Amino acid sequence: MTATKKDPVLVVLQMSGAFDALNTIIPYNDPLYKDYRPHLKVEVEEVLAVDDKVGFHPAMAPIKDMYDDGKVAVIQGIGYPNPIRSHFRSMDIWHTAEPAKMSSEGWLGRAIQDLDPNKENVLTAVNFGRGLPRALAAPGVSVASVGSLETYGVLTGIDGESQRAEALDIFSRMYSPMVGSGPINEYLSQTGLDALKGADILRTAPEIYSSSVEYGGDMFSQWVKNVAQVHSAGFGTRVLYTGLNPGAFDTHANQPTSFAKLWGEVSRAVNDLYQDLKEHNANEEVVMLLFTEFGRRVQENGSGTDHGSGSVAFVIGDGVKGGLYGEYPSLEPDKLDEGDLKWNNDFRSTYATILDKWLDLDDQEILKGSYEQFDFIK
Amino acid sequence: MVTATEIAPVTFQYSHTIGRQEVRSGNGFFNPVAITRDDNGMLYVLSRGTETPAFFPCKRVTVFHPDEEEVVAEFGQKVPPEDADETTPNGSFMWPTSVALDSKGYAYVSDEWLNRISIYDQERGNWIGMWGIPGSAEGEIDRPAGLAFDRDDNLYVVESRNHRVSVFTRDGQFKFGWGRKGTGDGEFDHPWGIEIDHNGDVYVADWRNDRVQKFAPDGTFLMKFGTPGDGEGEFSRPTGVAVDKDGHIFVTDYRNDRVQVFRANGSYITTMQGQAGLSKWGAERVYLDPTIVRARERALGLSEREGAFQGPIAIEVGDDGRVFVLEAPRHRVQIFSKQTAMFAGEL
Amino acid sequence: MAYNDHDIGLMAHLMRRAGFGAKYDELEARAATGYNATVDELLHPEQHDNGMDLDIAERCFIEWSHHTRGLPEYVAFRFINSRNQLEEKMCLFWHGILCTADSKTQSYPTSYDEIEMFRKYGMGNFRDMLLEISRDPAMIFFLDNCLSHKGAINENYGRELLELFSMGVGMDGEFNYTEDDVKECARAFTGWTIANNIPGQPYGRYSAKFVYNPDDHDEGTKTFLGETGNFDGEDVIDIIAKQPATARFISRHLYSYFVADEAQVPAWMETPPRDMDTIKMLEDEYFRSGYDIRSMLRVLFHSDAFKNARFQRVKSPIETVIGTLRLVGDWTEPKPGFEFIFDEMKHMGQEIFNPPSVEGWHTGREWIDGGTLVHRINFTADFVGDTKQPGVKEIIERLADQGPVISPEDMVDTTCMLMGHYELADETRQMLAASLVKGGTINTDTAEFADRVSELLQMIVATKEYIYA
Repeated sequence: MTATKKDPVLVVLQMSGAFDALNTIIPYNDPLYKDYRPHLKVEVEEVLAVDDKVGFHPAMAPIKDMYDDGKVAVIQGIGYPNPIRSHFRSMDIWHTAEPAKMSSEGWLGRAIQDLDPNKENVLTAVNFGRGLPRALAAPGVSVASVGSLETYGVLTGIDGESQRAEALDIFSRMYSPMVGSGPINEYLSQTGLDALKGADILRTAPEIYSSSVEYGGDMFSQWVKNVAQVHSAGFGTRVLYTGLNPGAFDTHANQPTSFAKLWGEVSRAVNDLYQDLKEHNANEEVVMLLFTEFGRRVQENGSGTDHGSGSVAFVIGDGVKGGLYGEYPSLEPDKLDEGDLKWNNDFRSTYATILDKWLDLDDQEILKGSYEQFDFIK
Repeated sequence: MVTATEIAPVTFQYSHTIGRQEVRSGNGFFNPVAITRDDNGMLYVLSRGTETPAFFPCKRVTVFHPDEEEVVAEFGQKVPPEDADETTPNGSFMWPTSVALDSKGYAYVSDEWLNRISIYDQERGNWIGMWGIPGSAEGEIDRPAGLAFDRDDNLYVVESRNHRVSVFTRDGQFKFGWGRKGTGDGEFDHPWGIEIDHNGDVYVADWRNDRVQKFAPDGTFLMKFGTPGDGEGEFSRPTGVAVDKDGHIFVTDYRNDRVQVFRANGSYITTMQGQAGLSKWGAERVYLDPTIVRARERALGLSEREGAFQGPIAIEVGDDGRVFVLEAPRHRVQIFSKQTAMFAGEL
Repeated sequence: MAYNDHDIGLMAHLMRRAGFGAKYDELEARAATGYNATVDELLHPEQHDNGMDLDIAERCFIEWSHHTRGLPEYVAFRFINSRNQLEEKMCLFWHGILCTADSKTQSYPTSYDEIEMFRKYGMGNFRDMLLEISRDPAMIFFLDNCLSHKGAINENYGRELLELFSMGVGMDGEFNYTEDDVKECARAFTGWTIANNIPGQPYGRYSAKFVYNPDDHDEGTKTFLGETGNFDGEDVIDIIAKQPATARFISRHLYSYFVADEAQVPAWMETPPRDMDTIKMLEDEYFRSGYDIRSMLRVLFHSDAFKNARFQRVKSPIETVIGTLRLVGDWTEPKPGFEFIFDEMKHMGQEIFNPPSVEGWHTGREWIDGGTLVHRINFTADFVGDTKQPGVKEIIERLADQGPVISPEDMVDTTCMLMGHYELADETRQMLAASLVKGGTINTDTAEFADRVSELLQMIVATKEYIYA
């Protein structure tokens, strides 16, 4: 644990679409890299080298800067048993931490149950994006899912300030447990009022917040800004979740352009968030986990890459002991798994490390098993 | 009209297949709906694409050489559904339906949602103009589908929802038209594909009437053939029609998953069922992935199932006897050569 | 309680349950035809035109061709537009019980075949349905029966067939079968497999095909639920179909889907049905009719238990989305942008063709959490608040027909009626009326009237009462 007095906070950044690990952390000195990637290779002189073996993609300079400051743990060769190349199923596995069977409960949902067992705070976890990721789902866990912080709430379609205020006033009274008698009336009342309360509190975040950091104009950067706003507002939120739109990193074609653009936006947003937290004296309270559902094929298809398995993840923050973790999977043809990078560490090891060493929770209970931990948390 | 007597059956030699599912751009198509060929033998395939926001771009015209199998140009762009209205940027597609080339090689693309005909230059596919006024009055268009130019660069536009054919100059001046909704001669029910033969006669795939109608260049009804069904000479939603120099009429019998070939008088000759193999662009993708290679080796009845036409939607035939059949759900073109039949009598 | 055959409120209830709801004009027309006649019509889709122009829809949404893509939208379009609403609702019923998920099967053409099978057998004999699902390529792949071999069984399908598809773990506190029954069941289904399918590259996905491989079938003697013989899968299904537990299981599912929310399936062994009389009635009909689902539905829809069970079920996300679109009259014709519908259902917690597990979706209160509740209310409010929607226009016009001035109470009551005879708690009704009073006299012939109706509609769909169907 760090020395911080405040409760540790986890920010999860989901890179949907499966980014190309090989061009993210690049084994630039391996001659095989160039063979596999005749069109997509990043030239040696452009790679932001970490050591004589690997380096970051040039668009990731803002994250590389943080790496140089010792704030970024790079988890190489991360994956899960029996890789599946479906975005949906694979993302499900990352969300539920259950590679072997389908489950409707998320690993963070279970963590939230532990963080707020008595459901005292309606904002223990907040998601920014459309729809709730299964990672945050668990029985009895209520998570605010925010499309846009500025307009979040119920009945947002009612125009006019006074009409809206009136509508929300009626809403709060209609959801009184004293009103109505349906089979689950009390539960609905509680859920409705919690949602209203959560929205009321959340809406104040942008008003309280001020910062000199200017985030990018893309959706993801705005959501990351929302993360900063909610955290600095001091609502006691412990888990903040956001990500790219579905399929964003699914670069089957035209990879060079879209890949660099996305990493540019994401890296800038990550660094902006860190700087923003620092400005609010909150940099020591937050650790970020950045992951994607699987890697992409080692052999390019000409202009892009198809679905693969072994990947790379990042854990970022002041609480992190920066460096390379896991092993970079071999590019030797006979060491590949069906033409994919072979994973060598179970993603649940990273989860376990974060749960235990950062959030101080019972990782074995949450993950329903024991996984060897890394030491990337200070 | 061909008056010769046919003494040997018309047969087709399968040549090769071009395409693969390619959801954004590059070597392949995505729900292709129209095909045409320019004077240099380049094929133009129009991909209808999908509305899924993640697949951006995906609606495009792909220009490629059918033998070298190289994409030489791609043009057109997708507009998000919420922006598909009168403010849609120039040159973009919502529901593109057909592509035709004028004598100068400019490409005209119809869009049945935007009710536009968009025009692109022959070099790089730059947008250079458009026309089209939505409506049902004379000179207005509603759901344009098939397009075909006559020798004088008049553009024949099949209007699906106006159930008629309207003829415009290249720049959109209305000249004349014919047809209305119905089942009688010269009437249509949601017509789709169109072809103009060497004599200037016009063939229309009268989609929901399950027949093909033939007209003189001025719209005078000449003949019709086809009834609903899946037997010989019957159709289930014919979409495309093409006529070769011998006067043979090819019809994509969309729902029956086949192409039927007819004599100039509309009598049935034969049916093509398709025999696609692995395309070059397909192989590029398949051989990247040993699991796909193995799955193909193991797949039961692969050549039969994969070879068969599915959803043949448009067809192009050339004076060189080549036949290009486009299949929407299989994202590919199957190419055949018509074997010269023996004829006796005068040609 | 006795009902008039032409009661519109009762018709609204029937159409919410046996369908996805209906606009008021359809309710009036169906009520004029009568409740009994409507039930008959709904039970016999094969005798009635579904009223859809799918031809044109498939031409506009070209990717529906051969169902290689766009299956959720295709199914949703049918839910919205088919006049044979019960036929569609039964497809969803079976999809929620005999679950497969596209995240694993990854072949919409195969899922399409499955849905068409549900359409064909959905109101037929339950034994036939079990046989069909056991031969269903999506299911065989989803539950690994293709990996179950003679001498090396994979129990997955054998287990779920008993636990989740036909009998349930237990009944009245007793177990329905043993672990040995699971193994013997799995043995009987060895050799029921699928042909190796064509991969989705390069030409898109193909439907998988069932094959029976006699060489891989375990011909040995099996003892299953107390009977012994050289059983094949079909014999096992015959034995399952005649079990009282099967009658109970399917009756409870029908009750929970059409009448009132039951406990979640895993709790059924210990938790008795909430209405044993109705369950008994359905069980009796199951055996009397020879396992005929249609007969059970007929008994159900004519029962007082059904007719009296208004607003006893939490609407599923699919019912919410489709019901809203049917109420406002949107998407009766193809237009660009239909793909939003999949995301809406998903964000409310029900991703069609991707149930969260083989158990299907948990229902009732489990549909509702803070995130899904906000999403549900805002989605519905956005549509009913849109005065350009035909169904909303009709509500505004019918309200205006009441006269130049309408009282707040009348406005609330009539609006609820036009939305399908919704019943609000007295307090809720008074709050809404009081709010209207604040806005001043309600003149129906003014420009702002439509906006006031729009606001009221949005408030009504935000009520707790509206969460139920």
